[in-house]
Amino acid sequence: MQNLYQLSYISKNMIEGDKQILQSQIESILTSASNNNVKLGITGALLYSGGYFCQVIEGEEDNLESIFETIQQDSRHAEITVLNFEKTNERNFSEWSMAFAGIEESMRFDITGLKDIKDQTSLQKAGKNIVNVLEVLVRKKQASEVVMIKNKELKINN
Amino acid sequence: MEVDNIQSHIENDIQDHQIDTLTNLPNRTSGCLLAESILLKNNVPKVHVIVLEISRFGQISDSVGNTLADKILSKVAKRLSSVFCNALCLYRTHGDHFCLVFNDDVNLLEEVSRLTDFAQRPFAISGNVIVLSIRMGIASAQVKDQAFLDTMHAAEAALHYANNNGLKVSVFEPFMLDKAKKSHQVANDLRCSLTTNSHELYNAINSDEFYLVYQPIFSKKQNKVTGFEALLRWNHPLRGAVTPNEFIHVAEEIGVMDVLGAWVLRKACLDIVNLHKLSEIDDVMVNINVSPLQFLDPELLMSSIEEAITESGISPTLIRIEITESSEFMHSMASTLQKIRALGCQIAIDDFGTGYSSIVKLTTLPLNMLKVDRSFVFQLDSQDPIKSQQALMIARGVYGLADALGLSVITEGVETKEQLAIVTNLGADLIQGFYFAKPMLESEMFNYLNQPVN
Repeated sequence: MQNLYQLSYISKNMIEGDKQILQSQIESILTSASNNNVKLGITGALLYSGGYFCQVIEGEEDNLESIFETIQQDSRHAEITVLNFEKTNERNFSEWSMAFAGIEESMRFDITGLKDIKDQTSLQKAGKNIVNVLEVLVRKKQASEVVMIKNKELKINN
Repeated sequence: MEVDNIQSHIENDIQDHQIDTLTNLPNRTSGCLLAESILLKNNVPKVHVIVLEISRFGQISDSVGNTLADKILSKVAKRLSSVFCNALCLYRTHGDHFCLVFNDDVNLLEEVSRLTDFAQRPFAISGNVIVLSIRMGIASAQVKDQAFLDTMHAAEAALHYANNNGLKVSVFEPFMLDKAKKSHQVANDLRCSLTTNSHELYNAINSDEFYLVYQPIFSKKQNKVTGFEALLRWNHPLRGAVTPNEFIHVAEEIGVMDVLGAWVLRKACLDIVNLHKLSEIDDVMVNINVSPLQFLDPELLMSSIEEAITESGISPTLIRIEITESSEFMHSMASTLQKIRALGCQIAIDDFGTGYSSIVKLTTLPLNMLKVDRSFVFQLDSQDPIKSQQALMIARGVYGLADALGLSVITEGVETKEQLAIVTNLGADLIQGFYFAKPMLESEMFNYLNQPVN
């Protein structure tokens, strides 16, 4: 793909209610994201970490910008900080229209530190770091799910 | 309300409609008609109008280019259309200004907060991330009591007020409209005066409406007047005397500072040369204020200064160009200031201590002189010992800084004997202020210069 871009951002969760409500809202976000993303060839990953969303989206420039705009109009999050938005040669999440990296109780990144970054290079570096962390989490999650499925299969076979 | 919806409304309701092709929103005229028709049709009792503008959009447009700037406006319009589907009507009034009309049943505070939130969320446009901020003017009115257009004007006056006072949001109050009207009238009168007086300003030197007054600069060490600061005044035939505070910013806004500034340079140089001839004192200097906006066209400014020197025959060493410290163009001014210095003129920084320039910046500019702002001098003999002590420390610091940087100092705003004694004690030499004299007409300078010093 000629015009492949990757964008990562963090934003504050605005969903009120208990863990169950949060979980169901995240599911709804993932479902609608997956539906929209498939149509536009967007891939990516989402992590909920200590009251914040960390998301990576990747795809062709116009489509990516269009999806990003849809995300901006969602009132379930606020205080959006874009970390990196740059051209890339390959996707980190090519197998997922929107991979879910999980729900974590406490924020794994230094949110104040990230918001305070002013220079572009450091922002991009922080963005790339988030992309890498999300990729590791998604692959771990995938591996454990595969193991769970395999275990289930083993039990059935036995 | 979706764009499609707005369009269908217009097609139904407005015969002579016009759509803004950039944003697909109604423009000002059709937007107003649309709003009026919706209010009527829905029997809306009370309306809230929010006019918003993107802060510093001109600067953004300059830095990213017109194509990207147009895309920003289009994306803002789309986002507002989607997020504010509860509005009765949304349209683009002009440039980077949009207008949202709400029924009274919305929670206005909540809408203002949503508007601030959503407008400030990032936009991804052509590979760039752009974050905007907005200002808002708000007006509310009973529909039966006030025409919609008047409510929109009120919201625009509130926005104007927010702009002038550095506020993000401003809610309309009647005095704002008076102020906006006055500012609009000053701009109109100024345009008319400059047109009718353009011959005088360009060719003949005496204008019927514009004139200069001169405030002496006194040297304590030499015990005599060593210069005058030229100050522009405007006497409008109907309006009477208009203060510089009222019209200089208008002149800057409507882009006529070049014409006025060039005239000030010519007239001040001619007047001082005339004074030299009359008084036979040929070393009296003239301080001339140059607006930061004149530095935007350095060639025009340089030719204005050179023409003023040639026409009057004044020695360039007797001219001090005063620039303001609060100028945001300071960085780009440096090379033009070098050229002015190369002519032989001096450069003074005005209102020192009130603007934002840093000491580092001061050292990068080819300055000769600082003018200590009157606000510090005013406090020197304050009855409040803390204030007077603070003012004293600041004044001492400024004189010390000037000394360290090899700059001379003019102390402005000296009004009392006590203030004079304090600043003289601190080593001040050049003094300007009401204690010596108020600004005077050209015809009064000669007599003032010849009166005995007391």
